Amino acid sequence: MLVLTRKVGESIQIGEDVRLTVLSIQGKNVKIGIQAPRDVAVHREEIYEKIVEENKSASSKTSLNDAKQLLNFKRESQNDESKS
Amino acid sequence: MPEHILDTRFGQIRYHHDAVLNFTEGLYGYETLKQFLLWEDKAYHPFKWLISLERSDFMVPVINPQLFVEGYQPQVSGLEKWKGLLVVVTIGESKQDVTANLRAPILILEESKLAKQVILADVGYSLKHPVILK
Repeated sequence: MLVLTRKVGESIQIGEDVRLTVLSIQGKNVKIGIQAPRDVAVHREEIYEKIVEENKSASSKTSLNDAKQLLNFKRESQNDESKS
Repeated sequence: MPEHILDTRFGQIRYHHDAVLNFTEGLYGYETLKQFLLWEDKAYHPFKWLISLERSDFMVPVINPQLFVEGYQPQVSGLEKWKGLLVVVTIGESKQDVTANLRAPILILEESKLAKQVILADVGYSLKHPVILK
């Protein structure tokens, strides 16, 4: 990991297209401005990790047995309807 | 038009090139997987399957979120032209456990078959929204 120290108002340039600027610091919170092209995704790290985890769960629960759950899922919905 | 064949745990699937989606950035956590077959089998309707053409054991169930979430119209700047919408489904132990990730939908540009998974800024959208079909 590259470590740089910046003061408020200073920036970091990443590649040609991405610039981070330290906008303000209040206590433990650092406000960072990010300039990047629209096609570059910028997210807080925790949400990125959560999405990765969810994709992993979704892809790991796809055995034939799991897939049957979707077939059963539909039938249960239909059964509920016929009972009411 | 030539058909392709894919070996999957569902057996051999014949598919047409038009059913292949091109994820230029892959899926989150799977950025190297770019080509996915969007497979529709009537038995699973309205669920569909996104099956990787590059890793035969990788697949996720998906569904059109507008079937069960009213007013779900994610706005993503720079991607206003995108029409098709899918969300990744996670299968749990029981009917109550089938959830959809509304926070990171897949947008599809119908004509070119480009697809992209995006993360919505709206924290109100759940990663595990229960799927309840009427």
